[in-house]
Amino acid sequence: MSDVTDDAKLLSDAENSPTTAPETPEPLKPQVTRTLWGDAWYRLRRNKLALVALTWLLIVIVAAVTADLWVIPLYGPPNYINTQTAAADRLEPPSIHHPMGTDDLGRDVFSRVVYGARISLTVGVAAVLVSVVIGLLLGALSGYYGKFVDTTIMRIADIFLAFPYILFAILLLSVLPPSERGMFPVIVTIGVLGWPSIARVFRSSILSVKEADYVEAGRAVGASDARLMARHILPNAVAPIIVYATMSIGGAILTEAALSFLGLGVQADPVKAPNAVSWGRMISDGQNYLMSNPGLIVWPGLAILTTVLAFTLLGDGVRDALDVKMKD
Amino acid sequence: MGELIKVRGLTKHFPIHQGVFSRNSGKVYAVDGVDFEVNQGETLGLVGESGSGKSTTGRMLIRLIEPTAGTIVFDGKDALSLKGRDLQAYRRQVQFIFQDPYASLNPRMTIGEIVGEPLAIHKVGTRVEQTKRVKELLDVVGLNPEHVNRYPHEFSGGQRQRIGIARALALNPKLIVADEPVSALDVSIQAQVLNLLDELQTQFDLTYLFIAHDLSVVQHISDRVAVMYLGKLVEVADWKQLYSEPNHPYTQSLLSAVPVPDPKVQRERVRILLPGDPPSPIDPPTGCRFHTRCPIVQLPLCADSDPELREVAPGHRAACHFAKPFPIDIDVVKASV
Amino acid sequence: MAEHKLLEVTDLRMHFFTRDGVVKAVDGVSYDLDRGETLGVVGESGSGKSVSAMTLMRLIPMPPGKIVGGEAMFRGNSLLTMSDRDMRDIRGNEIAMIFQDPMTSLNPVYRIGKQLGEPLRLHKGMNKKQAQERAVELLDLVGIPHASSRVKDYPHQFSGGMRQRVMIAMALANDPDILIADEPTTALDVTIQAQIIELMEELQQRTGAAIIMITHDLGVVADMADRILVMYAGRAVEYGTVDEVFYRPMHPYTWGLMDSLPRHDMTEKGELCPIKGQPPSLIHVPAGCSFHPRCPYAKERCRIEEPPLRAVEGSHLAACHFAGDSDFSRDELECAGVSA
Repeated sequence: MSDVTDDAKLLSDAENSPTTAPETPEPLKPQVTRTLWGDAWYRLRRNKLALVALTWLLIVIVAAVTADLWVIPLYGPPNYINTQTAAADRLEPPSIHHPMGTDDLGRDVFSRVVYGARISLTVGVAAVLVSVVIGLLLGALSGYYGKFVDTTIMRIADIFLAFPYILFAILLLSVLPPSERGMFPVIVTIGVLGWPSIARVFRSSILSVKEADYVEAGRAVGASDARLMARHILPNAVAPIIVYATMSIGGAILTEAALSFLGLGVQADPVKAPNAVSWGRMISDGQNYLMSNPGLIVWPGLAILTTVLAFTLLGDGVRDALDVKMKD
Repeated sequence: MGELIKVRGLTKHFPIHQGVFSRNSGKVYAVDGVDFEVNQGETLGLVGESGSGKSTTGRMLIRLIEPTAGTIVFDGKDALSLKGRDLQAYRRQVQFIFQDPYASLNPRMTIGEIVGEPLAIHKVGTRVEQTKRVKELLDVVGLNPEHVNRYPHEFSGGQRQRIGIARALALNPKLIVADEPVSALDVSIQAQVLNLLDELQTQFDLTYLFIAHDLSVVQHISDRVAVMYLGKLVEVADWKQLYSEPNHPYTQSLLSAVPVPDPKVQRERVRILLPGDPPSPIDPPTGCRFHTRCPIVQLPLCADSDPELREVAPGHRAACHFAKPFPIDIDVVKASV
Repeated sequence: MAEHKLLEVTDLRMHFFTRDGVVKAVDGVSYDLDRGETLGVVGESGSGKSVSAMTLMRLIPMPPGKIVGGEAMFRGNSLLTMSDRDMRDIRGNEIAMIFQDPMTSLNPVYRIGKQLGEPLRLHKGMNKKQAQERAVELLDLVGIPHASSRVKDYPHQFSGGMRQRVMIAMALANDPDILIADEPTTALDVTIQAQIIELMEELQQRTGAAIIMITHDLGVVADMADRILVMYAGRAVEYGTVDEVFYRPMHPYTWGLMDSLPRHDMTEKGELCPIKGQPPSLIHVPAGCSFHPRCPYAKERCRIEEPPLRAVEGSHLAACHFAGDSDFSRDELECAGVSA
């Protein structure tokens, strides 16, 4: 139990007890009432690992967003091949000019890694958002209405889940010609593959919240179905989704990397998006230099590893932060 | 004063679903033909152990659960046929207090929002008036009105139960169904809340249906008491009569089983022990449902014929072929195999 | 040489050291237990009654728990300082414990016979066949019908009352000297509770075991106990025979408890006089006497000085500065009424 809760209780005691008794220990300071979300944030801040993860992600995001301002001037563009210097500059080891060295076409690896974050993060977050939107809707219908609606939706979800994930993605994307494989199709593909899990988690969350006394109490005072859903069920059922979604972002990033490794990832238009790079593609390009210049694979690999790990740890932290208060 | 609510033949059977296509594979005979009335201004205690159907009965009165059969007449009107606005109006008159102070309040709403929700739903007064009323209600139940923006988790069990009571009072109901309102509370807090309920009854002219399994608590707060066993009402009487002269063998066993916090009395008491476990409401015994454990059972009558709830003394009804006042003429029956 | 009492607990203190503060879960508990005696430990939630028993059995994880004072002697040997191995020899053997919730205390994936046999095979070295036979005997002893066939059943095939009987059978398997029962009947219906109490009394007569009965239900202890220990906020506040505590209570908390109990055998409705306020959080226990904020008789001294558990009348102990004073008695105070 947090200090706040105890103080709050003492405050109530002090103010409610009749005057004959000597005072209870004085409350220390004016109360800051925290909502459950506020309490969760407070707990999250105390979790060192989650904070580290969060900080790292913020660094990556800021770096990627502001890349145009500092990366190119300092280290050169990620994609542009300077035909004159390429041969001389290729496959250089890390140095001040090139903190991660250069690749086989003379391009600065660091610059490519930073720009690669854009695609990975965008696809990761957007795809999960798609999954969440579909999953929340279908999960809610399933959980709340039950019976036929529930059975139908869940069987469809089962069918989706029965397909091998990556194979399905490959299938969907390989149907499109390379010129059509922008961010959008990739996001939609990964997103559409992810909805069943979210729907299931949300559905079970709804099922358990639905039975809670406070929902019955709402019904007893005359609340309509819509009101029950909006004010009572949804706010309390949504917490597990936050955890699941956060951790799924890591999975989505990995899928995108795998797809671009296979050549099916985001194919950016060289004219409209000259700086578009993908970590997965970097790894695929660097395969031939595994022995001689492992950096070409290691740096993008580390980027993927740390980012995915950060999302997972953050998700863990969020779950712990929300979990304790769930029980109260 | 007069009957406020009258229940006749109230029944609830829950179907048991099994299999992919939810075939009905049996029924839970939770409540089976219950008759009683609650008079204006009184407290009727509804007592029973688990599986007796008392909670289900209470929930049917406010239509949280829809009965399978039977009638409920409230203030002269048929409560079961109400729909829409009339149902909303009914809800304003009959309110409910839940057992679990930790589960009955939405953890994501402030207590002001919780207590004010009935007012918001039924559009009673302006926002300002509603806030004022909420603060009044908090005060009435012994809480500090300044805490209106706090969240439930900041309060103790007893205080949360008071919040639940405030919510039940919000619409000025006539009847409050209280489902085990003090069972989850410590003894010293229980007494506070019982006193509160007593005071509120006088202050607001309330009628209570008080559902509980704790006989001492029920005795304290009730004017009349009804005892349920396995979905049926087995005895109804004025509290004094029920506790001093129970007529039904189940009531007698129940009373003798409850320990009294008085060592001398306990040492001298005769305890009737019922053998075995209560039967399941899925497969209730034939005839009188109590016959399988009854200390004065007479076969084949008790297994063939379900006794009616009939009057054994003025205002005192019991459902037993051999109902007679305590003490019954048997030796102490041990918990035998 | 004076013979050792079976169990002697002296000023036991066990605190939990958590990130939010020190939880003084057990903060001064003393009592004795003789062979064949039943001690009723009563208190509300948060009083520390269950935790103190778990401390005796060394079932509290340490950290975050830590024994910060006191002693517990079982037949002259210290339960708190003996080795883990010696403690394991005692648990389930000489001192056995049954818990509140029979639904979760039994392992759902093992047959009853196997679970019953476990303490037997562990401590008495029986083989499978012997253990099974003894298991059937035990089931019979606790009144389970058709014991020889039921011994092969799983926990979910038993009702709550039956499961509690099985728990009792398990506890008695090795003929313990002390049976600690932690709220054994709280989760059961009243008529089943009566059966279980009757069973425990009968078994106690037969085996001569001492029982520590932990409960919040004063009716149950009035029935079963020889002596009573009243606990509040982790401390023992009153200790005496059952008659002494019920008919001549000395501590204001006990007075408050008695006054707030409804009874069903009364012919007139008495008034319930609750204790005002709430039990304190164990992290912020009030200074001095932990009961003083709720005590209608509290004086300045109570805020500052913690009253020791001292003898007021022979072996009747109370932890109140004024207990036993000639001018200190239970007033006909006006009830605190409805305030929280």
